[in-house]
Amino acid sequence: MQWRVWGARAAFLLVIAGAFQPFYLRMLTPAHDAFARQVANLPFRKTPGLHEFMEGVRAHTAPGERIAIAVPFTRWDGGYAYAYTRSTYVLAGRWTVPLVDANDRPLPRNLETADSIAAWRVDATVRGFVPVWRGKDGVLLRRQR
Amino acid sequence: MIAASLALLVTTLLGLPIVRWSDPGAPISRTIGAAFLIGTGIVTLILLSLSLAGVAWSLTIFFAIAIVVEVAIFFITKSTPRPRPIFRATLLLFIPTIIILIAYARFATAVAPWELDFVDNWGLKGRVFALHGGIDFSFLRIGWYWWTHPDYPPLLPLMFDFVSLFSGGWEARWLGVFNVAFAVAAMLIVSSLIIEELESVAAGALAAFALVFLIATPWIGIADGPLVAFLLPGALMIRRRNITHGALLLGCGALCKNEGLAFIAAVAIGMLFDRELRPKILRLWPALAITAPWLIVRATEKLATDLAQGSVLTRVSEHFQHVETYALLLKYVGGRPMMWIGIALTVVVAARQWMRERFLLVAVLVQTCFYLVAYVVTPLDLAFHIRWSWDRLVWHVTPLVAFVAIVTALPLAMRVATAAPSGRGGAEAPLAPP
Repeated sequence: MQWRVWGARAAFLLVIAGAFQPFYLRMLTPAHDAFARQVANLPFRKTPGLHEFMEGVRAHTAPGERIAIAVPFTRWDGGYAYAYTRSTYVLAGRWTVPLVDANDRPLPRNLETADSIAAWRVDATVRGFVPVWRGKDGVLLRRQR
Repeated sequence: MIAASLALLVTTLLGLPIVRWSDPGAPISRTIGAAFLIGTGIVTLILLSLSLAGVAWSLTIFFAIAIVVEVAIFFITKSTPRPRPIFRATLLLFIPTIIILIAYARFATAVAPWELDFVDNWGLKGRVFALHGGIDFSFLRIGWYWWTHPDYPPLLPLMFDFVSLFSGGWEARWLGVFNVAFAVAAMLIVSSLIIEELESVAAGALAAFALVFLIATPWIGIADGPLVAFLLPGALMIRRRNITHGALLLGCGALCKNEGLAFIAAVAIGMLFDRELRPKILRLWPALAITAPWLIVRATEKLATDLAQGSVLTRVSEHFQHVETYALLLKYVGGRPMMWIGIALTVVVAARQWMRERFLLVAVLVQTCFYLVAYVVTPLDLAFHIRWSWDRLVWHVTPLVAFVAIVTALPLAMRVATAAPSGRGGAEAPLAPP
């Protein structure tokens, strides 16, 4: 059954050719460095400046602190989740307090539980909180004692 | 990098005694691959136990417990044969695959893991636990962080934390190395199994080159790659009738992702369709024993599973009102049409051999059904859920299907080179597993 032998050979070649991922081989060329630059800040791509600001907030807050995340997005899937989840990673060890829920409802009462507010690109005037650090794109407010 | 390397080395050493017992007489390459995989399970269970006991993680405490565990394993499993050496000439044939793995290592470690699921799930948990000095159950329980999937098994975050124990703090830069280690481990096991089954190093090298692209997954820092590394060798060891060893691997897979738990059920169902495996189904118990501690923790801590929340029937009804959305399953299936055509062609040329692979094929089918059911009951927006997960889910089982295609087609394709009077590797030879 010669056709089966040649069929098997063709099938095997198709499997290899179909599975082959040439992109990986580019990692052995100078394209690797360009790729590294491209993906270095990929998770924060849509919010330029947020990563750096939250790193600043991290440097000016203590572990265990409750930090409300205030950003100029009012819908969960319209940007708030994007900024909130990423801020939580940068601020790991602190508690990040959401101000919007998954149904886009504002959660102003959550401010009562917060020790601080990380306000990124929003008006940072909140009664009972005073600015303690300013970054390029935002301000860190702390509850007045 | 030094911390990550030390973590990989210690993990592999921890797994060695069990693997020498559960897969006796295996070549050294397969032993090392399996030792790493099972070592990750040991590390996970030790760190989980420390957290449950309320003991803060430290290297000193970890090693004190690890030594006790290893001594116990040594006495239970002593008098096992030494692993077989591999010939250097074998390595030459694997050079193309090794080059791909080196390129993959450059890819995976280009920068710190960049996947969103690393930032909002696997890496986030790892970082929170590392700073807490143990699993922070209050973080998992608090409703604010529902999007981190608190119920997901902890193996990968805890492996990240194991690195942080060596480095003295959280450092994500080299964590992509785990993707590489899992891929290499799986490749070492699968290549060895194919060489033994087809009795041809050349066939093993060709198969390895085809499979490396499916085992070296592109999602860095998340659990899909590690899961593939557990599921494929685990199922193949059971196919080979080494059920205990396969069950150990599958158990570790269930510590890695919920889909790993589902796969234990899929494998059990697959075993029912294999006359030889059917009576041995209870020997899968080590898989459940390994994952039981996490399942108990998940239940006692009431960690929410989003698929089971709220009214499942209401969601099913809502999804079926937009049944056309399920057409997205075809759109986001993950590509590789040429590979699937090749696989289909192997069915044509080696139909009888495919029929003998009932165990693997049923397991793949059942697992795929589990995934489809998840899309029926999902609380997430259906289109969103399919768009961002279906290609990864399909990838979990693709290497298994590709494996079947390869072991059925290769003996035929290499007929001139490997046909022997015994017919073992010949075109008409039965390909029943050894």
